[in-house]
Amino acid sequence: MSSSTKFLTLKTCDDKKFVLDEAIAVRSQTIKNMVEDDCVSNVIPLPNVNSKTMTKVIEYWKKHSEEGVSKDVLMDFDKAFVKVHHSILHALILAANFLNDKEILDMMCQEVADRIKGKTPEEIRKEFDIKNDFTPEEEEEIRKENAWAFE
Amino acid sequence: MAKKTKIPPLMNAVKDEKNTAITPSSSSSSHQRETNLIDLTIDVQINILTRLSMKSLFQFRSVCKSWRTLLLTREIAVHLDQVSDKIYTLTTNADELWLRGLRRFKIPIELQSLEFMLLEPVNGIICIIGPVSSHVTFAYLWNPLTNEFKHLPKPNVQMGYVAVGFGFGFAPKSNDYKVVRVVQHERKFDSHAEVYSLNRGSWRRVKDDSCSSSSAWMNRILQGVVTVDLENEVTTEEERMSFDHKNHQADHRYV
Repeated sequence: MSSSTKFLTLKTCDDKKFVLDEAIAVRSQTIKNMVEDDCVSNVIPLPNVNSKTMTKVIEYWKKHSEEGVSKDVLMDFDKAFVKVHHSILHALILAANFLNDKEILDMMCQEVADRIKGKTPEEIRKEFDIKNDFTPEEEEEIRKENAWAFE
Repeated sequence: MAKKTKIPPLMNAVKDEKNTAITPSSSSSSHQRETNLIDLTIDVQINILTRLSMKSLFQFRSVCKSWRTLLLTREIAVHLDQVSDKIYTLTTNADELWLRGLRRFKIPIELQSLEFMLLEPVNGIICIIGPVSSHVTFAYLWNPLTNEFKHLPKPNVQMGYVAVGFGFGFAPKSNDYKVVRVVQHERKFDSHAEVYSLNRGSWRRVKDDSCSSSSAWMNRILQGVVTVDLENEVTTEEERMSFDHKNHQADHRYV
């Protein structure tokens, strides 16, 4: 490793510390701005991200920063990466949004959209653990509306 | 967190015939907070929703009350325009449907005339208006995602005047939706425009500040552009808030 390699320490909301190559950490626009503005002391606090989520994010960053990784390998990696429980998906979206990593954010938003696409409302509820809070009357109304909307 | 503004309901005044409007009881329930899309910032919500087709959005709004309410926020509805624009059509011609790759969309009531046009959606709301070259005009505002449907009152019929163009837009300052109808005399070529304001609930003739002469109007109609300042309901020379009624007529179809 060259002597110019700098490391940053990131501290998640549950007080776990991650030491990371600055070149990788600046995939986060938020961290990049902090580095550029010279307001990085020893530890960068990430009050909105927990360690479990940060581990996933760093896993992604490292894989996508590796040299000589083929596109196919990355695609397979991404495919597996998004196959997580919706609560992790949600946490990753919040983290990507906070860290301002558009790549992860867009990928996660696409995954949420993909989990909605082509599903019935009941299937969507199941997918995202959502309770149906419509009354039977409202449901009937919605059913009628959807019936007229598409033939 | 971005501020969310509710779209003013179309149906606040009179409830129309068989219209059904489900007004979502706002921000009820706090179930499964951990993964509800409602917790995400509006930018992220838009990021997700713009990836969905209109058909998926229909399923989306049927999931639960808070998801349904989400589609009512204007910031989000604005971004659904591109989606809706491509899919809506009132045509019944199957061949044309096939050619254009469009999906047939039924509207919830019987229209009182056969010849209608769909004006470009604004904040997800569509204006159905027509017919052209007629003394009478029927106009409806429709939000397909909320199934709000409003039958607008008829503009006053004036002897000899026929509608030559229509427009639909949103006036942000007054938080009002406005429909424009441009009429022209059948023989005299005298023209003027009328504006319907959803907040006011009635039609009013626009003031002619910039093009009072009939030749100026004539010129504008020939060019296909009559520009109306929607906030102040006056005609204007300025390009902003323009109503290119020729473009709107491009979407002219038969029901």
